[in-house]
Amino acid sequence: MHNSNRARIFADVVSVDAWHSSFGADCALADLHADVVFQTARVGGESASPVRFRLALRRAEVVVVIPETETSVRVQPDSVARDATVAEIRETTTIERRLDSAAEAGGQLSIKPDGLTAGFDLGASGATASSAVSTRESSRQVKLVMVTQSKTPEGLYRWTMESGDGPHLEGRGWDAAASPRLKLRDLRQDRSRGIPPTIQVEVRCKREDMMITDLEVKDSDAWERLKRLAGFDKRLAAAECYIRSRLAEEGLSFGDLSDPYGDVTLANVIADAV
Amino acid sequence: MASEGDHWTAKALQILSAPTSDLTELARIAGYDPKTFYRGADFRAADLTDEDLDAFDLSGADLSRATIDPITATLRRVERRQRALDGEIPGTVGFALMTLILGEAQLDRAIALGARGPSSEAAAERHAASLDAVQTLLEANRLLREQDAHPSHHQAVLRAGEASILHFRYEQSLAVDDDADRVQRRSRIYFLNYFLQTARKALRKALTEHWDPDDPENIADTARETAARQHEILAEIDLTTSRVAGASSQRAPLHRAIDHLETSVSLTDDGETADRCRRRLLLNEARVGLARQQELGAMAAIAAEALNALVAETRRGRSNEAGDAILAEVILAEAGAVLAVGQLDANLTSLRHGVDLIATALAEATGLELKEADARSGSEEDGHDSIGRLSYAWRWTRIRPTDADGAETETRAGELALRHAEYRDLPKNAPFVTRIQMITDILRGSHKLLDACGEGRLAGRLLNILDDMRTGRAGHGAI
Repeated sequence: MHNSNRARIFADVVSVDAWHSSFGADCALADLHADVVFQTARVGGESASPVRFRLALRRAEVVVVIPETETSVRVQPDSVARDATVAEIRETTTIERRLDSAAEAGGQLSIKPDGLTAGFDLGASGATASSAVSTRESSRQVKLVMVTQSKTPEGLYRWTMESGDGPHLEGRGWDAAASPRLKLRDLRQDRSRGIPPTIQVEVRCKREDMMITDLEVKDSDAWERLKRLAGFDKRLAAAECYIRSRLAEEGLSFGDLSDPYGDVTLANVIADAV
Repeated sequence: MASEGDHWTAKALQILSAPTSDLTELARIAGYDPKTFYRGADFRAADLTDEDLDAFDLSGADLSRATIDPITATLRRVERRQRALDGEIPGTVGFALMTLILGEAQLDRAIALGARGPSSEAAAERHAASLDAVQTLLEANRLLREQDAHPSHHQAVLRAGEASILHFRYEQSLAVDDDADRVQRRSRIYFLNYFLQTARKALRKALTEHWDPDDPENIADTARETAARQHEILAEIDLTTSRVAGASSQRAPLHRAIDHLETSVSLTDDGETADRCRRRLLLNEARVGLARQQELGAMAAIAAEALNALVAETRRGRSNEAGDAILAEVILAEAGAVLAVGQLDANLTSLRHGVDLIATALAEATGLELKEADARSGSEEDGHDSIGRLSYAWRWTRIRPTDADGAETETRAGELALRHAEYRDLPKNAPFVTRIQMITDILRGSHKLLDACGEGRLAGRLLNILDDMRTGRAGHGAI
């Protein structure tokens, strides 16, 4: 697998845009913004691939990397976004229950989450002369992405992101424009001269955090036959592990697959000065 | 086979089409270290009972729906250690065959003891015999397996499976009284699960040796019947596994049992043979089990209808001796399905019908002269007075006892008849819980009566219904 392929696959899973306000002669502090968006990638669309699957992430980390060579900049600790600013939606569930009085009639239960109706009807063919309907409505705040701020073992600031509603990450963890991640202080004596410091934003995950779903063989006849074979679930698990390993191999920071804590770098961008 | 020029995902196809499902082999095909390969894997409903899970680092892996046998894993560890210390000593074919013969003799003895009276001495004896049979047959299976798939291996595996199920039934029957030592029972049943899983694994291996699921037609007639029987035993093991696990069990064993039984029925010759009838019966029983787990009365109702049709077919085939032998069992299975509908949907009509079906099954099995009793009891049966009750009770004391202790059987029958009469007398607004309690009393009494009459298979089937009723919950209909 070429790196370009891997980069394209990872770019479909996570897109990163980072920028900071310019350091000027009279401005030592700059806000660092990072817009990180997660989505599910469809992989294997090219004709040479005999299989296709979806790739998503269970958990990921956004890390602000200040290269060791950049001694002229540091993070202003009291400016780090520590609150878990999260995107939220309100989910409303309506439960309607109807009980018919006739003994031979079945019950009817319908659950309507946000307008989508999942009906369940059990042969309610009997008379419905008298019936009682009870409706219950409940709503809750659903956090789409949970964000926790901490530091990596190397002392870099990071934001760990997990899905708040569902098995994988989808969407943004914060409003990038309104919520800068931190402030950077330019330590140069004369900020009008020399090259301004370079800051990187990386998105990392563990190998286990990569979710391979809906893996299928493109040849539908062969796929149907394979699904019927004994031990299919084990083969499917192994095939998913293979794909995960190959993807992780290309993005490993330290190149050692047997290290269970080895991070996979999904994206690495340099924050633009604006 | 993926080659250098292939797309990097070609290896995934190679893994999916691999001729093996062994996790270590699959990791090797992928080209990775098996130990770390499965971290974070989603095993879905994979059957991992054949795998040595200690050999893998499964951190982050999802095993919640997979079938795992913790006892097997522990025993494997012990076995590995033993091998390291002593080395393995394979038995000779002659010794293996002798072990098989001995095990079969023990199994036959256990079956014969099951038909003897209800005394505790006989029960203990048959219990011990069945346990011996399980152990000896599993040993025979192991020895024969080492002889490079000796032709008798299939036989040993099949009989070991049968013995395990038989032993489980005895364990279950010992626990029919609520005051039985629950802890002891649980540990025994848990250990028994190991036997069941071992038999299951061996049977599955035996099946793949002469049975290609992709080409079901390409199979010789004798092999066809053996395969049908093996699928049936596998299904029985899965059904039993599901029972061992209780109400909290996963659905995977029930789904597997249904698959096995559907295959088994399709492999059995057409016509009203007892084998085909029994397999259809088991299939619908498994569907009722699934309906209970999913709390779907409608699903149980479909199984009840299928069993009703099977009862009618079996009645038509009564001239046939095989049909006669199984009729009571089919009726009892229908009773189980109808009671499940009643309990899940809180349907009083179904509950009443289920109780009546139990009476019919008992009558069929024990020779109750129903017509005469109906004529004698006549109109009193509808009245809720003492004469009516006594008259109804009298019907039940007409059961012809087949055991030595006829008086005891008669007393039990009388008591049972009173329970039936009390149920019929219940006012319409009686609490649902009371009804279920009374039905479980009737089932318990019926079990004792059938056991006393030497109807082991029927008693076992009735015990399953009793277990289901005790652990079952009323579904949405009861709200």
